[in-house]
Amino acid sequence: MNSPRPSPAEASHTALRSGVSRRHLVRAGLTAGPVVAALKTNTVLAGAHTCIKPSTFSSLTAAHMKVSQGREISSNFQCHSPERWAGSNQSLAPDYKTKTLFLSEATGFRANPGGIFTGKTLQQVLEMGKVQQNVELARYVAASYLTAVAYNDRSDMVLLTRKQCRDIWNGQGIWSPFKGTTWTRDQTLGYFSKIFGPAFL
Amino acid sequence: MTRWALPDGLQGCRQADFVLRRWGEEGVVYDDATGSVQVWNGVACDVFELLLTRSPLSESQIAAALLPGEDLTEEDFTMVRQLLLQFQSMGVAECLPD
Amino acid sequence: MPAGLSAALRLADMSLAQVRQRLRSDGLWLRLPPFVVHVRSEIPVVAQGLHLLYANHECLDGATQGFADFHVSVNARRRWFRPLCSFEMDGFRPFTPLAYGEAYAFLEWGLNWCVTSYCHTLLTIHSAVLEKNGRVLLMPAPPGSGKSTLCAALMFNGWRLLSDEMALLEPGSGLVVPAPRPVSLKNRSIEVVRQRWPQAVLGPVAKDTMKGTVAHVRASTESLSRAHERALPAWLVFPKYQAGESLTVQPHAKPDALVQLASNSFNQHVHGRRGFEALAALVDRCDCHDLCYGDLDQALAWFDALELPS
Repeated sequence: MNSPRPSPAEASHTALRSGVSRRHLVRAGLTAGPVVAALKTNTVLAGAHTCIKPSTFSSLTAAHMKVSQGREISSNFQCHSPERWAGSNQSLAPDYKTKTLFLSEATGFRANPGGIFTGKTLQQVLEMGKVQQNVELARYVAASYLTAVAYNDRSDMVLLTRKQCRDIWNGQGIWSPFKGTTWTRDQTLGYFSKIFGPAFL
Repeated sequence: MTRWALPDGLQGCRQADFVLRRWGEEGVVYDDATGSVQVWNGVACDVFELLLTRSPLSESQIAAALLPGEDLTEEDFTMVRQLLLQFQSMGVAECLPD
Repeated sequence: MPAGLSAALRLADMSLAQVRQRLRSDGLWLRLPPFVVHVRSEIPVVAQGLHLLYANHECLDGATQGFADFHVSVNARRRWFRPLCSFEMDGFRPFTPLAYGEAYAFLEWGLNWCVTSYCHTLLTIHSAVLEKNGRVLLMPAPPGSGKSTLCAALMFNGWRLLSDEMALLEPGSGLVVPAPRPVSLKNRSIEVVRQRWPQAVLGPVAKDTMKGTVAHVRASTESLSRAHERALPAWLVFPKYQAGESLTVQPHAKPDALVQLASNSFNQHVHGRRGFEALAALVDRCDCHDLCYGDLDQALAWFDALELPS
C-alpha cells in the first residue's frame, strides 16, 4: 500500500522543527505548478526499428506503421546509432570525434540547454548516458551528423544531412523535415527512436 | 462563493477515472480517460485528494484544509485559485456556477 | 543431458545439418517459455545460432504440436548490389530488410517484437530481469547504460535470468513470468564476457549493424530449467555504467520510478487502469535505486548484498 504520509498538522509540526513554515511549503507547492514529471506517450516502443527518412516515417505513422502489400520501402540508408558511433570511426579520421567539439563552427550546433554541452566533443556527447531529454536528442543528432559527414550528405545514403541535423539541434527538436510540416520535439524524438530502435537492442 | 469539483465526463462525475498513488510528499496521478500518467507535487496531491473526497469545495475551504489553524490571507486564496485554474486547464477540476 | 531439464527432445539432440534441413523445410517448433515459436529460415547463420544458443530448449513435434504463438521466418532477399534478409511473422514484414549477415540477430529482434506487439495478456516492460532467493530484480534502462553486460554478469554470478530485455508482469498477481532467451551483447561487452567467462557460449557475431557489433550469449541451464517459476519483484534498479567512476547508489523516488516504468512499458496503455495499478503495486513492493558504477565486480558485490525490502 501507499507509504503513510503526515497529516497537514503533522507536516506543520515537522516543518517547524526544520525551520521551514508549513505556509512556506504550501506556497512553494502552489506556485511551482502541479506537474513534476509526466509520461510521454511513446508509440515507438511497441514498434519495429527501421531505417527510413522523415517523410517515410511521417506517412507510415499516418498508416499506423502498416506497409501496404507490395510497397517497397527504400532501405539502403546508413543508419548508425549513437552506440555504434561511440565505438567506431567508420571512414572518418581516427581523431575526428574526439577533436571536434559538439558546439562549434564545424558542426554549426549552437543551442546549449543548461550549458551542459560546453566544451564537449562529439565523442563525449555520444557517451553521455543520463536519461534527460536534451541529452537523448544530442546523442541522436551527433550520430546522425557523423553519418552525414561520413557519407558526405549523399541523399541516397544518409537519412539526415548536416544542415538538417543543425536545424534539429538548434531548434531543440522543433524543425521542418519537409515542406509544409513542422515537427515537435516529441515527434522528432519519436523518429529517432524509430530509426535507432530503442526497444530491442 | 466559487466552488470547485471534479469535472463531469460522458457518464457523470469523473471521480472514477482517476487513480492517485502517493509515496512521501509526491504522488502519481493516472487519468483513465486519457491514459496520462503524471507526478504531482505534494500540495497538488493534497488539493486533488480534497476534491476527490469532499467535492464541492470553495477556495477558502481548500486553503483552510492546507493550512489548518493558520490565519489565512488573500494571497493564500489567490494561490489556491491559481492551482485550481491549472487543474481546470488540465481537465481535472471544474469551477461550479454559483 | 544438463541437470534440471526434462527428457524431452532438445535442439542439441539434433545435428546442425538436421536443424538446417528442418528450418529450410517445415520449420522448427521450439518451446521458448512461456511461448511456442515456429521458425523457418534457409539462411545458414540462423541455423547455426539456434543450434548453439537454444541447444537446451525443447524441440516439439510440429505434426502433433499444432499451435504456435508465433510463426516467424528470416528469409534471404537478393539485391544485385547487397544481399539482404527480411523478418516475417505470419507473412507480415514489420521491418525493413537488414544485411544478410545480421540474419540471426534479426531473428532475436523479431521475436522481441512479436512478444511486445502481441502478448497483451501480460504487461511487458523494457527491462532486464533476474531472480535470486525467490525475489526479482528489474533493471529498466536505455541503450548504452551497460544493462546487458550487467545482466550477463549477474547471470554468470548465480542470478537466474528471466529475460535480458523484457519483464513480463501478470497484472493480477504481480508475479513476473520468466522468458529466458540468449542475452544480447554489443560492442565492448562481447569481449568483456568472452574474457571473464570463457565457458560462456556465444552465438554468431554480426558486425556493422546499426548498433555496432552484436552477439548473443546462451542463457544458463538453471535459468531455462526453472523457467516455470514465477516470482515477485523486490528491487527496481536503474543502472548507469561510467568508466572510471566509483560505485554510487542513490534512492530513486518512487513516484518517478513509476513514471519511468510506465515509460518503459510496451503496453501499459493497452491495460489501462489495471496496468497502471499493477505497475504502482510493483513500485510499492520494491526498493528503488539509481546505481552508477565503473567496476563490474563492485556492482556485482552490491547486487549480491541486496536485502529484501522491509
